[in-house]
Parts: sequence; structure tokens; C-alpha cells
Amino acid sequence: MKKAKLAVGYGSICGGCDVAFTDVGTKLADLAEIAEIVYWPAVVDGKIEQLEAVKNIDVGVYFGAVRTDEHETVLRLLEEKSDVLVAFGTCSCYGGIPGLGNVETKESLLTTAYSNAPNTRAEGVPSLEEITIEELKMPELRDYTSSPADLVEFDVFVPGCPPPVQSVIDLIDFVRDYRENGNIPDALFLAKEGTVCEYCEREKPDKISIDKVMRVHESDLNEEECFLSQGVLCLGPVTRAGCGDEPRCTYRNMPCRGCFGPTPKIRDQGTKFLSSIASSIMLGKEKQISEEELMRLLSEGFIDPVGLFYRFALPVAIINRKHQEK
Amino acid sequence: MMTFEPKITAFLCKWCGYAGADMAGTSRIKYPPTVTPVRFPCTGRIDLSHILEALRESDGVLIAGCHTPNDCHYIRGNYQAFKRITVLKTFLKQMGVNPKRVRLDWISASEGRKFAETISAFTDELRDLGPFVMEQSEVVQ
Ligand code: SF4
Ligand code: SF4
Ligand code: SF4
Repeated sequence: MKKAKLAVGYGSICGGCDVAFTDVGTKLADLAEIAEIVYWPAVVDGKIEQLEAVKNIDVGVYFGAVRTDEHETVLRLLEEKSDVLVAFGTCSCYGGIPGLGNVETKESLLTTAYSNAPNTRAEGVPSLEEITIEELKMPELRDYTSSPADLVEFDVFVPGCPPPVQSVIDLIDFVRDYRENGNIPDALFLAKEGTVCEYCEREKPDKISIDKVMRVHESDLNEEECFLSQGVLCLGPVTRAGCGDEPRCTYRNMPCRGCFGPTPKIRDQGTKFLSSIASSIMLGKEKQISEEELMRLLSEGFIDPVGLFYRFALPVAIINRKHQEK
Repeated sequence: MMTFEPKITAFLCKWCGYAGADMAGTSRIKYPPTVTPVRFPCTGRIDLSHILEALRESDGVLIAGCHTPNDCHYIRGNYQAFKRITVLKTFLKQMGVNPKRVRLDWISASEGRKFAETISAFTDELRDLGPFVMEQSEVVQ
């Protein structure tokens, strides 16, 4: 049987998704058996011309968010040539960590990175425009990061930052199934329908009332008890399950930060969490303190709502980029 | 020159805010025609996504319900709204949206005058701020 042609293209990535692939160990040999890698910069050194030259791709996989024209070009090429298009990693599904950049303007991001940060001394800021030196081109940073899933239609979504080993194994099995039976799924999520909480075995009280929001290092964490009831913010209630029957973070005594993105029933992960967690502050005890005091508790508890609640899915939120109002 | 007339969406709890608006009407108190009321069972029912969705179509969102501490028909729905909107304002500030576009007031069923005055004051404030255009990276379905 002919091998399936596999291509992996990149947008704005950290490299973690490549590492996640190698994490499956010997299973990678299975992939080599069933698939011919026609393009994958980290594995077979690819230049964009190579991707342009490929005629048909069976499975096209995209890592990362879209922040430059170059990223979108790769995404569109994959879309056009692939039978099955896979969004791999939270960046690709929801914009992910690079999407957090949408809380700033591109000018302020670049000035911070190149001249204002204490460890940089560059004068002037590169890459506010496209730069071409001989035949090398540095693409311009766009005004904002987009979630690739808003630009093209994916057949398979593999959330997770990065996706866990099991998801990669499932994806490899899926490539095998596609090669043998030609099955093309419809918006298949390699994840679960429910929330992380449904898989977390920490003891949950019926009602959660938080007197003070605690940082992980500030509290003596009880490893058996729900983080929220201990005042530590955990995004389990609004996050899609699928990082393991034992959720990757909560089983290692760290709260869930929401990397699997929103559950299918939630429109906006951050807003949903904000709505519910804000009401847990001093729940049932509001009348014992003044409105000013309550307001102080809230503003001290949530200094950075974007960073906390939208860490992985800002580009798909209702308000998803920086405004410039007075 | 056309002056800018802001659009306000008002989420009103049926026991107080909405009854207050009714009172303004039956008492024939004048206020600007800038407001589209939406009746909620309680301000505590208002999810923050309701407010953000309403901001897509309006320049400001008013939430009005029963006075704290003890007027809420459901005991502390008004506090839920108070807490949510406080955090929402921090979020709006981070995203560069003027938090004044979301306004919370306690207006009881008998306060028709206060309702009218609130609408007038909010309309003036929004006139100063100008129209709100929700900048979006992509059209999100
Ligand atoms: S999903 Fe996470 S691991 Fe993968 S590229 Fe994005 S930031 Fe990196
Ligand atoms: S909130 Fe976090 S700690 Fe609590 S049950 Fe859910 S996942 Fe577990
Ligand atoms: S517990 Fe939450 S943050 Fe951790 S891996 Fe699972 S979904 Fe991601």
C-alpha cells in the first residue's frame, strides 16, 4: 500500500509541538512506515518552495498561530493541497500563547522586545515593516494574531499546549486509518466533550467561596482538595478535557491553566471563567463587608484577567484584540 | 453636522431596574431615546458574555438592578453582578476599551426619576467617548 503523504507547516510557534511529536518515542517509527514526509521544516529541512512544489498532500498538519503573511501563506498552501487538514496544538486551534500578544499593539510588543527590555540595547525597532536583504525576506508582524481555525476549515483538531503523547498516538492511528480506509472526519476533536473537573479526583465542595485569591506559592496546598476551594485559581471548570484521565496538571499539584481551550458548550473561555469566579469571591458573605472593601478584594485578586483567563484562547474571544480608547 | 447619538443597551432586572423604567414612563419623565431595554429576571443572571455581545452592537451597556445590600429579590443576585462587573472593568482596561462603557447602577422600582437621569448622564458620557467599534481580528462565528 502506498504511503500517505504528510506535510507539517508552521505559523507562530514555540517549538513545543515538534517536541511533543518526538515524545511518542518508537511510535514515530510507525509513522515512518505509513507516511512519507514531504514537508516538515524541523524534520526534513523544508523551504517554502518545496511545499509549493508538492502536488497532493494526504494529511496536512499546521502548528502555531498566524501572525505574518508568511504564516498565512503556509496555512493556505496546506489547505489547498491537503485531503485532510489537521490543527495541531492550541495555537492552531485557538491562537494559543502567541495570541496573548493581542493584549498589546505590535509597536509596543516590538519596542519592548528590542529596545525597552532591561537586557536589550538595540536602537530602533526592526520588522515594523517587511525587510528584504538580497533574496532573504523578513516578513512584517501583522497587527494581531489570528487563530488559524478562524481562517480555514480544519478536519481534525488536536488541542493541548503541547498536545499530550496520547493525542499524537491517536493522530498517527488516524493517519493509518485514513490511508487504509480513506476516512475523512468532520471537525473531529482529539479531546473529550466534558471539562477537566470531570476527570479530576480532587475533593470538590458543593459551594465554593473564596475569601482571598491565593497564588500557588502562597498557599500550603492540600493535594487532595480542589484548588478553587483553597482560593487558587484553576481553569478546570471551563477547560475541555482530554489531557489525560488524570489531568496533566492537577495530578501534579498544579492548577489547570486552560490549555485545552473551551469546552464545546462555552463561547468564550475567559469570560465564562471570569463570570463564575468573580461570583465566588466572598460568596454569601458579601454583606459583611462594604462595597469598597469587596471591590478592593476583587481588584487585588484579579490583577491580570487577560493573562490568567485568556492565556490560550484570546484570539477566539469576543473581545480579541487591543483597542485604543482614551 | 450630525451629532453622534450613542446606542445604549440596558439590562434591567424585572423587580427594580425595569420597574423603575416603567415608572419613568408612567410618570412621563423625559429622557433621551438612546436606550434599548432588555428585561432580565435578576442582574445576577447576567453573564459577562451577554455584556460583551451587547457591546458589539452598542456604544455602552447599562446594568440596573435592586439596591444593595438587601433589596434583591433573590437575596444577593445584585452582588453577583457587582462582583462580575468589577472584574470585567479590569479586563476591559487591559484590552484598551474604556471601562466607562459599562455602567452599573442600583435603581429601585419607585425611582423613575433616577432611571431617566441615569440614561441622560450615561448618554452624555458616551457622547464624549464617541462611538464604540469592536475591533476584531477575524469574524468569529
Ligand atoms: S501549542 Fe503550545 S507547544 Fe504548540 S507551538 Fe503553540 S505554544 Fe508551542
Ligand atoms: S477546579 Fe481544578 S482542582 Fe477543582 S475539581 Fe476542577 S480541575 Fe480539579
Ligand atoms: S490540566 Fe489543564 S492546563 Fe494542564 S494539561 Fe490539562 S488542560 Fe492543559
